Amino acid sequence: MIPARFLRPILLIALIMGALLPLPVVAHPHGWIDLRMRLVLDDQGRLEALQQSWRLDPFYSLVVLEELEREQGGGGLEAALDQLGSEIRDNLSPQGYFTELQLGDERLGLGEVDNYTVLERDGRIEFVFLLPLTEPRVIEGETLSYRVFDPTYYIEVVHEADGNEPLDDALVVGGELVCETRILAAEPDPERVLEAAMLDVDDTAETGLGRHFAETGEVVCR
Amino acid sequence: MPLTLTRLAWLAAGLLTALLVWQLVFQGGLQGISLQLMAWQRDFHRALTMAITGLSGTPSPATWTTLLGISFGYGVFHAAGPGHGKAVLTTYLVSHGGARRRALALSCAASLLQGLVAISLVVLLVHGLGWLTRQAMGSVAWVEQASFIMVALLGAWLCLRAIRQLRASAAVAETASGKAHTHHHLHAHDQAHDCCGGHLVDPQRTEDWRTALATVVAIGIRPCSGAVLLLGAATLLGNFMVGVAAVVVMSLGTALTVSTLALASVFARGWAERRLASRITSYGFARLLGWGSLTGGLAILALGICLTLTGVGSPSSSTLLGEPPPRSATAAPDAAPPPFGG
Repeated sequence: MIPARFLRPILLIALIMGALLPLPVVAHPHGWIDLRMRLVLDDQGRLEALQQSWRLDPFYSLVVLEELEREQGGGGLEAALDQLGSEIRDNLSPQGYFTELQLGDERLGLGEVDNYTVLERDGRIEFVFLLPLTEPRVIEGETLSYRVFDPTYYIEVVHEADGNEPLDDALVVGGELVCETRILAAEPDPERVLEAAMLDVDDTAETGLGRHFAETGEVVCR
Repeated sequence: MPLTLTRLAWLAAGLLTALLVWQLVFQGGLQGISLQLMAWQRDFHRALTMAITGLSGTPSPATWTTLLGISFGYGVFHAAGPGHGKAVLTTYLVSHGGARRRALALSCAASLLQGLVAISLVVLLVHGLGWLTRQAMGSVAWVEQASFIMVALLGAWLCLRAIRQLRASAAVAETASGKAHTHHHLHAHDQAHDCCGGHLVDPQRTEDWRTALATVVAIGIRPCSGAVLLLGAATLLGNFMVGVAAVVVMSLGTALTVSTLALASVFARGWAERRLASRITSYGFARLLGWGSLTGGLAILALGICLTLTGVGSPSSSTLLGEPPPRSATAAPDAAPPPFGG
């Protein structure tokens, strides 16, 4: 038996939790990627590509390595990692490499990745790739912003950070331009998360749940 | 001791209330709480991953304490979000009643079962049959589907029982309209061990336990694919027992959250029963309870069917890595990749 004096506090806790029940089931991420982003400029100082490095979390790295070691043929781990790279590339290609890029209000077109590599370092799998713009763009004077996210939010993409503070090299501009960079934490709007959660997992990226939890990288060059 | 427990209970209630008020006033509503819970859960997940990875490097009492503390917190917050298991459990308890002790037993059993299923799945599939961890994670989608179907069956069964109960109470009203015990023993319902010998209670006792068991299994059989990943990773780190410890402690955290909710459901029902019982005739009261049970059963049935048809479970693999390789021809056919991801 529960003594009567517990009734009221427990009832209060329960009422609050009961109030939460009808909320949509928002799937929590099951793994994460630590992201490093480098803006690649051409010799005229125009943005031509995004070089990204994705570091899979320790658990996912472990189970993927398990898979590679089990399946590697004569080529050894190196060949298996290469094979993994091309699989990841093929999986990401129809999804725009999880990347959205904007200059001011204009959405910039992104091409296909031909240049990529997968490596294993300290037990973490790292996917490094060069994502070209469809055409080089002058970015001075306007705000360049990007988001990298898994629309299903099964995997969360976050900039490399120490605690809540993004590392300095999580976002860099490679070139001569003088730029200010910053990484904005996600500020999910409950209403829109609710809308997104109502939609099916395989709906378009525009409605994906992951976008609401994505960090935004911003670069302003002069 | 009881005094401190009371204080702790009030403290928890106070903290939650403060959170509620803070969210409502500053963060724009209830959904914000859901997001806040999710953010905490995410942080716990990350900390847990790091703790297990760290423990395999340098195990020490301190790292163990950290790991178990994090696991417990993860369990609490993982369960604090909405989920179909809790919806089924609260609906069942609100509409069918039950002693507090049983509500506690139900929620603890369901939470622990969830952890046990994850552990058994890994022991059986990964250790026993040599599956890859990612393939075992894929199998969660199938277990989940089984859980949804069981929820629907449970709902159907509860409906049948409610209809039988309604018929019985109608029969009682006809034969012995004056001397109904019903009112009496429904009061005693709260303390089910204190049986008054009413004819509606005794035959139902065993059946009550059977439905309770079915509820536990229907909601507890569904493991979190995160737990399977954790156990698989712990295995690969050569530290399976660390993973088992983490999952068991996680289940205890889940049990804490779920039993609070379960107790609340029982109190809410008890309160409503007392209010109603004092106002209407015992016959009308029995009818009302019967209708309540039927409504609850229907709600659970509808939820089960809805979940079975849409399969709204969380995706069991990421589009990034694609599906895990299918099991070879010698493997069981049910190991085909789940319909999620891409």
